[in-house]
Amino acid sequence: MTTITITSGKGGTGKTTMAANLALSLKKLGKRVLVVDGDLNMANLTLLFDLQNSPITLEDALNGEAKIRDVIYSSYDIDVVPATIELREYDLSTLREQISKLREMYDFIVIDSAAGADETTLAAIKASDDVILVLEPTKASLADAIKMKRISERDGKRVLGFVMNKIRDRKYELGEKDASIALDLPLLVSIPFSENIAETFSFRQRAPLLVRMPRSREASYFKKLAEKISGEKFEEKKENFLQRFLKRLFKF
Amino acid sequence: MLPEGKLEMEEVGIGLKKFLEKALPGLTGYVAFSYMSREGAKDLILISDKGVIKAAFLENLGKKQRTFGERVFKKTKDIKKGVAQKVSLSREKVGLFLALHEEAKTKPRKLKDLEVLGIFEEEKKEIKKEKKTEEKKPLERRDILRMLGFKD
Repeated sequence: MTTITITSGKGGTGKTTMAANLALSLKKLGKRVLVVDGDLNMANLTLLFDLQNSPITLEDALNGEAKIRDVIYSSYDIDVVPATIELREYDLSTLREQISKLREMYDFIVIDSAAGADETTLAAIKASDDVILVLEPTKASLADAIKMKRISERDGKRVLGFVMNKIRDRKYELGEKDASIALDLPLLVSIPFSENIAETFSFRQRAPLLVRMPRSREASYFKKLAEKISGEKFEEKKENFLQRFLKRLFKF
Repeated sequence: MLPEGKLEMEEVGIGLKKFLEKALPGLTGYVAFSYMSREGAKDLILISDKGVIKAAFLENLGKKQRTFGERVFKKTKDIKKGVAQKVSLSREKVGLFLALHEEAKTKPRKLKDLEVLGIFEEEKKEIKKEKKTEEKKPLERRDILRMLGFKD
């Protein structure tokens, strides 16, 4: 079992999108997966999985008011531990212990961390075995990622690599090679900026990309990341035109 | 050397191929001419690799006449754009093309007006590529860290 925290330091790099779609991709690979909203103050992953009305959340488990197993919900065919949308006090010191209680139930636990390097983010890192950094191609994002890498390694965590997200292929953008050199980490996957991914957080379109567009080009980036993490390959059947036509016609 | 009468695609290819092989042994790139045919002004575009014509085609000609250089016909617009925007003529090449121009003048019945529009040199492309790779050359780790304000 592996617990992976998705972090970046800088906000808005796409951590939540990455955590959700990586978890869904791992699930598609046949893994037992749990995704945890570790951004306890700004529970965006909870919104993404449409669990904002959950009666009990991670905070209840952290405060000893509920069992962690009781705050696991199923959304889009995947297990999710949501956090509350309301402002609430919680005891972060128990996060690691609570996560460890779920270890034998899953092959992968993916934690979406908060931005910054405050105690919420640090607790998420402490509760994990491995860390993945999500960058956007900017100087600020790289500087923050370097700090997060140092923090993670200081805690004895293995940083698997980084994802370069929201690439627009502009001359002024930070290159993957430079980022890899500076971080001394491998590039796991490069993801170009996509409106389809950006739509994820639109008011009406909340489902993760892998649910909405599982066969899209964008989905393939997350699948590639899942393959690298799990060491297993997707075996997707290639359908010919007639098969696709019949499938659409009869909607099976 | 230059084809007689109405310029047909095959004739252009064969006639100018021989001429260029002799006159422009080192020429590489796209060469464009404008000339007056019976139908009016036309552009002739040649793609040359060290004086050997790899392809030639005429602008505004029908599909059937696109025999020579059909393979690259799709690129017509790009080439024309390149020719129009990136004219680069060395002195030697200007001289050679002036000679070509004179040739046309002495035989007005064949090509009433032959004018060199320009050469889009492959060399120029190569220089550009080098510059690009220079810009994209990865920095040293220490340099990047210092740029970001880290001491080590």
